[in-house]
Amino acid sequence: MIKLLYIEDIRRPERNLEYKLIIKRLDFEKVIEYYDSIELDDVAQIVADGVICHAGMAAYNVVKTFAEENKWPFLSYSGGVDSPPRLTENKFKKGHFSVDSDYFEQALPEFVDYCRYRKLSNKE
Amino acid sequence: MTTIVNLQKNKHQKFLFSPDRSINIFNLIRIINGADIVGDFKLDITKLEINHQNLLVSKINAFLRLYTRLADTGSDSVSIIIGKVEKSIIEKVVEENHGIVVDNTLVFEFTKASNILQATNDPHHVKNVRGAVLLSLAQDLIRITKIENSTSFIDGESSISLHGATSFLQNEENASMMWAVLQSWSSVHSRDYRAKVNVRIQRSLLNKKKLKGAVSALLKNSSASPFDVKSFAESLESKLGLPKGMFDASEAIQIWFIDDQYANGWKILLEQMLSDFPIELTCFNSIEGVRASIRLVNELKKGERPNAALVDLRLSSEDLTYETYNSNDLSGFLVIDELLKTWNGLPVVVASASSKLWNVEKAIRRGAVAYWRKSDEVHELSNEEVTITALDINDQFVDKLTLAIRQARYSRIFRINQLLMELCEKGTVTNIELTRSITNYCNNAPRKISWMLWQDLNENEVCNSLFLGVMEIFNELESSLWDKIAKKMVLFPDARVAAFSDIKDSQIINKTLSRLDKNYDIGGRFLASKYETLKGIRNHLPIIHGSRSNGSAEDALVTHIEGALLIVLAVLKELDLHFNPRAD
Repeated sequence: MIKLLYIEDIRRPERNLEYKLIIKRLDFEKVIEYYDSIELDDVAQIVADGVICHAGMAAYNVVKTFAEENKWPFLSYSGGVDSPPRLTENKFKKGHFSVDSDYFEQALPEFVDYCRYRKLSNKE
Repeated sequence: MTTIVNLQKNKHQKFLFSPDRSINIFNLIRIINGADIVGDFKLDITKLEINHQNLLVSKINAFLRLYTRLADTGSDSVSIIIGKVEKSIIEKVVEENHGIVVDNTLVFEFTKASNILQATNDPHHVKNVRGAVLLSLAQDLIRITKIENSTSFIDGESSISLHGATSFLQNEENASMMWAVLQSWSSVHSRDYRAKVNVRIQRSLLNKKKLKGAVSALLKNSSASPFDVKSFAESLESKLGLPKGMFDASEAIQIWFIDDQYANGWKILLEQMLSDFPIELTCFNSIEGVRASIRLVNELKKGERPNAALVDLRLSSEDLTYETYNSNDLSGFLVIDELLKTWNGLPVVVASASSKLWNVEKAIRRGAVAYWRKSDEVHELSNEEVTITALDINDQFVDKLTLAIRQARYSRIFRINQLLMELCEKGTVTNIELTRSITNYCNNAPRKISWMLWQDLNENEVCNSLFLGVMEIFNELESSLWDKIAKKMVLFPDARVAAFSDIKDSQIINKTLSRLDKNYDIGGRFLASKYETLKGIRNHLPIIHGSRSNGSAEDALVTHIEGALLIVLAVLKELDLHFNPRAD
């Protein structure tokens, strides 16, 4: 079983709820846990097979830095005009994906599959 | 008869899609507008790359909303002929906009487009965005360097791509404004007006050159200076507790950009504005994010500290009430406080659409080096004035960023000052005059530098003044190094020296530094020799030496100031160890 973390934006609880509902609707609540701390010490301690957060969340840079350092598969979503409508891997950072928040629901299963596959490959 | 508009990869891709791969819906309408459509039409996108097709279809709602507003051709519907567009994207847009799918064609009626509530009702947002759209126009004008009679504006062949405002142009109000501006260029602008705009473009290019100079100066390797402070600092690094690599040359300038709207287009726009410079932007939308990253840099030593910061004042929806009705603090002020508390002397430029004078005053009082008003009341201006205003807003930005980058050249001075202040606050220095001298110097340095840069004084005058300030600290330092009662050197009481008053030219500092050189074991007369060099510079400063006419005057460099401060720090550290010996 894999464990992914959805890091909540402490400033936007109503927006978190929107995406938590999608996670629930897709039946991913068994693999995706919710995490609501952006304290540096807490984020530094995270152990996960993948991390998901909004690109506009408070402390996004902190999460991104640890994602790079710990090589977490990382999905960030946002409503920015440059956000792609499909799960798109960053050209320069392997395992870092982005998606237009309107297409979060469509992209999430693919990201979960990626994390699952990655964990299996690492075990082998 | 139905008109078919064919989008071609070679012909339209650059105009439709910006390098960051976002789609410019405004430009799609410009292309269609050029096809002289009457009634319904078909848009064939099959010749575009699949990723671009996906992107275009995913943003169809923005197109449907904007098209009727900008280019009302009496069309009721549009048919889009697609290639292998992702099924999930098709399903979503068709459902949301009440479209239908017929084979490889999506059909939408304009009146049935989803009317998702936009942030456009927020007056702050609209004003903000208007400035952004204008800035994007200014970027394109500067890029083409000159408007010719043949330069096209409104159509799909135009070199005015407005890619910097791709996101903002999805806002109907601002898209309408820009549409009118571009249309009027094609019809009413005279030769004289074109000449006037061209003069302004040349001025903007000149400003850009100044920014380039400031950027190069900041990135210049300090070891290339005649006074090699880098090697000097590296030799003392561990003894003085200097941050590792403090004097290393950087490849890029780090700017922190704090704006709650950064993800809604400002980041893309600023990146475009700075694309010719080695500048990296790190974006934040809240004070919480800034605080977390400060800890990341300072405590965990991850990431680079910024060279400068651009701070918007309104970072939360609650701020709107404050800004409109009273002069309470907007949340951006807290960010300024936080940044300057952490990094004394960090050049902070406020980037705000607010025209409230109390905000400008407060920003400067809080320590910002400049206030950039990123928008203007352009809705009151004619289309002609709008273009000049666009270039004005851009020039203001470049000007203020140049000021900040120039101030950033002194950042290592501020860092050493912070270390000195820590020692003063710790009580290391018992001599009140010395404490006062150091504290005054450290507190005044950022303001003094900002003021001199505002006055546009040249680099030499700024450096000479700062250098002289450090050399004055040495005057006070002397008396802390001599025990008048015992008639001995404080740090080296066993050393045999003549009484203080008898030492010619107050050699107590030289003697102390010579002994320190022996203790540090870093070879030869290191600190003492550097001090001698610096004294020589001091004696040849134009203000000390008099006229430059006989050619013997010498100006101080930033590295001289840094070197002198490092010597003060070394001596204070030794005094600290002397009076507060460590347990180990």
